[in-house]
Parts: sequence; structure tokens; C-alpha cells
Amino acid sequence: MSSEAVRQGLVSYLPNLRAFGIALCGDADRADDLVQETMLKAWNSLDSFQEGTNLRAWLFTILRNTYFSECRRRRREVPDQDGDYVSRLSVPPPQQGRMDAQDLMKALGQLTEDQREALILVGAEGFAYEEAAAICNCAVGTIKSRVNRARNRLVEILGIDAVQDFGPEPLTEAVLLRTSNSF
Amino acid sequence: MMMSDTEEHKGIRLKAGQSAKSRQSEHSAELGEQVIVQLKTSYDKLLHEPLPDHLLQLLNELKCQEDRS
Repeated sequence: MSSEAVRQGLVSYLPNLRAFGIALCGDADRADDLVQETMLKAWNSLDSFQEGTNLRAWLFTILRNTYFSECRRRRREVPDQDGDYVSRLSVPPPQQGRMDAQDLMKALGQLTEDQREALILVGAEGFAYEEAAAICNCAVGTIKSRVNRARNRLVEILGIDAVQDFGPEPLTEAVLLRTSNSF
Repeated sequence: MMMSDTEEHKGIRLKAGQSAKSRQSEHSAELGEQVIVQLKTSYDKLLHEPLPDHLLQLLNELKCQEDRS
């Protein structure tokens, strides 16, 4: 694959890499740094990219490896980094059982890192279990189990008891109903 | 073969138990699916956020580097 083709790939996957970074670390600025580092690493390692393989998966692998290396370094430098991270992102169950995007993204921060990355890769990015397993360097069964646990844990954290809890809040729902009835 | 009253009651109780467990499992699966739908919606919002200038600038710099080499 020519470097121009990789550059085009970087451009097209940039929003995905950034969204993955934000969902992974819960911080847009840190995610931007991760994406920047990923781009530079990818650019400098073009020789190691095998033509015909999945460029998107290759880029995601670089980003997640960079993130976990950074996490290990931070843990050595700042004790209890994880505890602080979780408390910063912790979210009480939403009032009246309703939830919004922000609640969900915060709840993601309360999952273990393994569960979070598996859920984002499969549930949000749409990678196949096999692709996600290759990115995370683990067995397919492990990814399936992490996704399942992450999904159940999110339901638990968000205090969701019924499907209706996912709907719009009552006022919006009433407006939507009224609007749809007037046509 | 005829079942005794006790065996019959046991069978009914077992069926009722399985049914409740099955309903609970279906309910959990439904909630899990909805969480994924919600996750995708939130993630899509992140995908459509404008990219920071410095990332786009970096891409251009890489392109220039490529042109020079």
C-alpha cells in the first residue's frame, strides 16, 4: 500500500480514532494526544503494515497499545491513578430512570479498561469479535465474555429496569407525541 | 405413565420457575441490546465532532514530508 493510500486511510479514520480515544480515556485532550501519537507511529511504521490487511484494525491497535503503555507509565508515576480516574467519572443513577449520552459516556468510565475497550470496539465501532480479539491480542471467547459483562454492568450502573428508561425525558416525549399527532 | 399428585405439582413448579428465569434472561438481553443502541448513538455524536486543527495540520505536514521525499 502506498504511503498516499495510508494517508488517505488516516484521514478517513481520524474521526473514528478520536472517538475511540475519547471513549477509552474519557478525556478529549488526552484523546487528541493519543491520536496524534498514533498518526506519527503509523506514518513511521508504514513498512510494518502488511498490504491487504485491515488498515482500520492496524490503526486501532496502535492507538490502544499507545494508550495502555501510557496507562502503565502513569501508574508508575502517580499511585492510585485508577482510583482517581474512576471517582472523577463516577455517575449516580439518572433521575427518574432516564438517561442521556453524557450519563452513558460517564458510566463507561466505571467499567474495567478491558471491558470498556471490548464494548467500544464491538458495540460502537462495529468490529467483528475476531477483529476486536486481534486488536486486543486475546482470544475471541475472551472478547465475547468482556462485551457481555460490560453490557450487563452498564445496565446495572445506569440503574435501568425497563426499556422505557432509554426513551426521551417525559417533556420531550409529550412534545414528540403531540407533534406526531398533529400531522 | 401416571404421575402422582406430588410429582405433578413439582413439574408445574419447575415449569413456572424455568419460565420466570427465561423471562428474566430475555429482559436482560433486551436491556443489553438497548444499551448498545444508546452507546452507538452517543458514539456517533463523538464521530461527528469537528476535528481539532492541530490534527489536520499534522496530516498536512505528513503530506508535505511525503512530497519532499
